Amino acid sequence: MSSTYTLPDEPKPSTLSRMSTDPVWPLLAMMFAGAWLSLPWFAFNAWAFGSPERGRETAIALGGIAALFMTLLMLLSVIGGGVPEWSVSYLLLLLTLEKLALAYWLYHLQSPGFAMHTYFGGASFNGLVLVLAAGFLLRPRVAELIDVHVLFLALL
Amino acid sequence: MNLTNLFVGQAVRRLEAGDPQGAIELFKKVLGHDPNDASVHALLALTLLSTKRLHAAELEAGLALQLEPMSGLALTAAARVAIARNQLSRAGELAARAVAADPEDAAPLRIQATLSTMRGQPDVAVKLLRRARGIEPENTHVLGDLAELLLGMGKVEEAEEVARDALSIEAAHADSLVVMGHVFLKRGDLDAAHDQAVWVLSHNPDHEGALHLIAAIKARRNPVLGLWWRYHTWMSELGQTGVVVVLLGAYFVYRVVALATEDLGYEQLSNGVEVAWLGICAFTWFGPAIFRRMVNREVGRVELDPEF
Repeated sequence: MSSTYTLPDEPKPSTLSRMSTDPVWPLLAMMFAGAWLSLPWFAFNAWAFGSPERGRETAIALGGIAALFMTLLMLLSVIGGGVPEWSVSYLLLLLTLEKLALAYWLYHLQSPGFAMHTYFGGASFNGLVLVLAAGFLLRPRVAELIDVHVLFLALL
Repeated sequence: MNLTNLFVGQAVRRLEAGDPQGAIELFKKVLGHDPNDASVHALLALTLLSTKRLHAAELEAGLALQLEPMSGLALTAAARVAIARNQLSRAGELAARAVAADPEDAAPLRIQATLSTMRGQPDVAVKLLRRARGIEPENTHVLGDLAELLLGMGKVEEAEEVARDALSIEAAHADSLVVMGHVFLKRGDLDAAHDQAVWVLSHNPDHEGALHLIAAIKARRNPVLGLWWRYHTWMSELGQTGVVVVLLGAYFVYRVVALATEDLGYEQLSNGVEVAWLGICAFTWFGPAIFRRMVNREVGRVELDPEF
């Protein structure tokens, strides 16, 4: 009995696998750096370690970016419609909640697959440095884009 | 005995010894040789399910059903996967088909009992498990389920009786030992409850029931950990979506309160809210790690009562 039978959730080694990371880092990236890093990172990670639901995860991540822009447009139209100034920061909380919901959703989808990847000895890297660098160094640069167009707020 | 049976036998023994991954590897070997064995696909599906590999379990159960649509084992595996997916009506339909395929099999009756419990009909579940017990009186899985259910219904004496029956058949039956632990806990005998939990964990450190039991014991002894455990148990019962909704809701409330107190000029109160939120985050973030370390330390220095 030497032939091997492969289960669908078992990792398929790829050249990208050593660039994969624990999904907790893209989740934290959403909190410390923003959606601009977190959502593409989730999508990339899905392909890097060969997540069994990588198609779905990519769709959620990319669709999530579109959904964030839609929500922001909606909020801007509400704010433009003349709501009291004090309520703006409360309304923008909805955007933050949407970002966190997307990140948690992707985290829960990706975690079991990543656990399999590490179980089979798959390589990965520690995302802490990237989260810190993105949070402290890159986030202020991305924030400057809001001066260019307010829609960049959706990516923060 | 052919090689397939030998490997399957070994796999089942691995499973009973609390080594599902070893069992999975053996099942894979068998399927590498004969990918059309529906029973092995079904057993593999059930094993994958026990390790929470739902995606793979679903595909394996589907393959088993495709190969043998009337196989009781394949139907049972598919029903268990459906329960894990929270597809209760599909699970019910599959379990009913499994009962029809083999009325003398206790396994689908256990599934029907699980479904009844999930639907809030524990009395129906007890009847089903008693029927299963009538079919297979020495099936410790059935007895374990029944003891656990009775315990959940507050029928401590009956639960103890059934658990003791199971232990007289299989002295190391983990689920029944856990039920006995809870019985002792309810009677305030923390040491005896502790012995049951540690015994199970020393054989299978990931046994969910034993971890719950030792957590309940710890919770009685340490109020801070007890608080974390109650929070954890409550969150576990919510399911993944529920957890995310609660977390987002809590975050929303925290932000609104923090913003409102700041807007209204209550600077100190606003700072207090921020500190409290940070405390909650730290508590829920480090709680599991601290708890796990305590359990590991406990299991590492297993000291059972000499009379255990």
